[in-house]
Amino acid sequence: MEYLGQCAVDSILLGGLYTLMVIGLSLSFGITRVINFAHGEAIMLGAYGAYWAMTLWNVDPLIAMPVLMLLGGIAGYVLFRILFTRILSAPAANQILLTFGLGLILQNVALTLWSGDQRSANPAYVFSSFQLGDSTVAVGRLIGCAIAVLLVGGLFVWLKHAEAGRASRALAENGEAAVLMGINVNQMYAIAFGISTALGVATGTIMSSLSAVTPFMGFNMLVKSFAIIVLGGLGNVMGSVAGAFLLAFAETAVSYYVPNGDGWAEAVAFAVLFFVLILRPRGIAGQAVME
Amino acid sequence: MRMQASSLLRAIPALLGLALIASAFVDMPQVNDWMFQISMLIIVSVSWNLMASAGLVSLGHAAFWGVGSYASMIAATRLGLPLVGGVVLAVAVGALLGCVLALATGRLRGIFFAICTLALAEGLRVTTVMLPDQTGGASGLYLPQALQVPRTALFVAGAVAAVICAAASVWLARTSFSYACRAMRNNESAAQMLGLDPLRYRMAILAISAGMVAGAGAISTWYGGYLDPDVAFSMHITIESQIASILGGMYTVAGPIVGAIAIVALSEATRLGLGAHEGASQLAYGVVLVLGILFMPRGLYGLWCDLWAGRIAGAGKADDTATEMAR
Amino acid sequence: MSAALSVRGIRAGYSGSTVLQDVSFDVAPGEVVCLLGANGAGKTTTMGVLAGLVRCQAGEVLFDGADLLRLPSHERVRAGLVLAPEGRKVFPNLTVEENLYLGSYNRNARAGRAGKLADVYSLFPRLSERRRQKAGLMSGGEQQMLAIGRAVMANPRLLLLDEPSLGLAPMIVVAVFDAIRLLARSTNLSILLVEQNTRAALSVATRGYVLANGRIVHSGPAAGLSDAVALRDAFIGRAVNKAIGAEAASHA
Repeated sequence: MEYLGQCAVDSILLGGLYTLMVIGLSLSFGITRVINFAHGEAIMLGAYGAYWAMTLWNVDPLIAMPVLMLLGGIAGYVLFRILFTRILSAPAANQILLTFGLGLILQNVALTLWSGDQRSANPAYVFSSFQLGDSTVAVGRLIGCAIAVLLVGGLFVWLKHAEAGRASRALAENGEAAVLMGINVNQMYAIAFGISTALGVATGTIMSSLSAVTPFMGFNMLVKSFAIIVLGGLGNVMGSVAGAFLLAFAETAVSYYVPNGDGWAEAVAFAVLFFVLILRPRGIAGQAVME
Repeated sequence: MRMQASSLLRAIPALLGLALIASAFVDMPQVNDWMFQISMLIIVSVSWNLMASAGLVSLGHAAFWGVGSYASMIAATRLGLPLVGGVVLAVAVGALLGCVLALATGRLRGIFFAICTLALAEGLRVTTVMLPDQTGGASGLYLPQALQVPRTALFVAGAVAAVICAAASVWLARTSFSYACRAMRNNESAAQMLGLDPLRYRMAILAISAGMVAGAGAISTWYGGYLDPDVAFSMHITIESQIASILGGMYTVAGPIVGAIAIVALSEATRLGLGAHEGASQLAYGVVLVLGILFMPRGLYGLWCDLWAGRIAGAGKADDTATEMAR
Repeated sequence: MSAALSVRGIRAGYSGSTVLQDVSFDVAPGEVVCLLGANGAGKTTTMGVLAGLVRCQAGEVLFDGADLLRLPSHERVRAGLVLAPEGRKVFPNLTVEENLYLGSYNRNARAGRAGKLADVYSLFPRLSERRRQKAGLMSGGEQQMLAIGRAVMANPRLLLLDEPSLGLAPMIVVAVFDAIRLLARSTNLSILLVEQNTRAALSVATRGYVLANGRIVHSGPAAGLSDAVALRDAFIGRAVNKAIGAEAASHA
């Protein structure tokens, strides 16, 4: 257990990022009840946005982030109004396939436009680090985690106190009663979806300097997000936070303590997903809805 | 007259099947290749559709395909098992995986089941990469020279397998099995109350579906002569298997077959039209998937049925649409 | 301030089956009108049509003289037509106060939110005591108070109450109807009340209609209506109506 401190630091930093990665997906599912298999592509496009802002105009990813999030949010809102409102009451199969197809389109548009080359946005601070006791803390990851915590915190405040946030929680609990409150359901769905997309874009912006940017990076993140969501209970936002840290810890531990661990860490999400679905399909926290 | 016409209609599938097998003996490599692609696609889409008919949306057909491919390839490299043995082994291993998946997923449905299959395929891919001693890892496995068979034999094998799978789906559609599937798709608890044991049906469906795809994976492995985790567990398989059913018409017998032919035509068209760009065909698939779900959820076959019905009862149908729109 | 409702020959139902055949009735400004009938008579469907949850196939509805059916559901709330639905439908994981805040989600109600909240708490002191509690953890009677309070928060001009006595103990029914009577005194509110509990409903209403098999079969002032209902039951011998009459009598 010689790396315990380092392992803890790495898990926490990764967990914060995973929380941001998953919270958008969890939010949109909790409210609209449509699971978005194209959420990974919002992350991917956010990462490319940050990469190009850095490469073309020398804009730091963190400065580009608000603009990219705004664009992503608008795109998500419009997309929902055009495509998703048509399938809200369709069978699950149609919803799955529509969002899956949308993801496929976005992946391959990215592939066609920007090729499959691995890229990375590298602002200077990404490479620095400092010592904390026996452990090394990478500044890039720390900043990423801090921003993730800020955004997730902001989302919670919005859900708890904002007029629209409260309305979206009500909508998640009972759509018909929400209509009777005078809530414009389709618009609220689209707003939630837009916020979800914006959070995905933010995740990608942070990822652009921490991992390779490729057209297919989103798929991997999508599967990890599913593992986390399933771990925390579908539609349960608080559960998702717990799940994110659990997965981060499991992956980090595997990569430190298992021989060949870096490779096997990639399989942790799949194993978690598979076994949780089999043993406890409602997640570790049971069937709670939005808190 | 009418009798003759309908029995002719019924003979068309059999004739098409014979034509597919016969095409293997035509000495035109391009045609052979198309037919082989169509055969493989018919198998995976018939299998996908069979599962979808029972409400089990698969996003992990690559898992079945890859397991069949690896079973036959490993048996060939280690034990020298030839093509026929390899295919039989692959079908058996695939069916076993199907049963295990059915037992493991229990009563999971819809999104949960879909996510589970997705995880299965990706998890198996990573596992294969991580066990190079058993599977050859990322550097892959080559089919031993001694076991290679003439291409014609592979084309025949592919076509025969496709005909068997299509025939099996036709046969299943005529038994009470299809009613059970539909009942499960609509409401599994209700199906249970009708006296069906959903788990047994699930095991049967998954074993048959997975076995079909695994067998196709084995034949395709012999055709390619090489296997690595990205080839075996390619997302492409998963995508093609669902898209053919949707384009052709979900929940019908003819849909996946019509869809398989249409998809091969589409991917050849994009290849010829846009060049061999790696993203072009997938992009086209995505567009077909989205537009198909939005505007043609019953697929080409459903469209054809509507047109056919429209020709018979033209005026009546038009009235119905008019009243529908007036509402 | 209070609004008038005029329902003219509406027909409505769910996929394939028609529940309401031809229903017409009126609510004058400031009036309390009840809609009586047995289970399955079409009372809740009528409320659904008014709130925009059920599509209307024919007929028209005028709300203060304007065509109501053209408005989407959420805009009807803003216009002042608010439904407290059957089965209460509170948001179980939200607190009592959050439920009430949601009641005043529509823009016309947000400005007067604090005042309305005070009104609701004085109408139902129980809600004030439990304001921080999750709505789902309260008793049926408290949830009914919350459902009515939530509707009042929306600043309604016409309040639709669907079966407020459903599933409640007799003492709670009395408390709920006392509150409704208080609401009815307010000059700027009309109330349409749907009930199976005939006696309780007629004790607050000024006029009433009897719905059976999707049609209005009786109408008149509250005082005369209870006799008419009894008479009709005697003639047709509907066991259901009788049972309800007996239940209502035992509650009173």
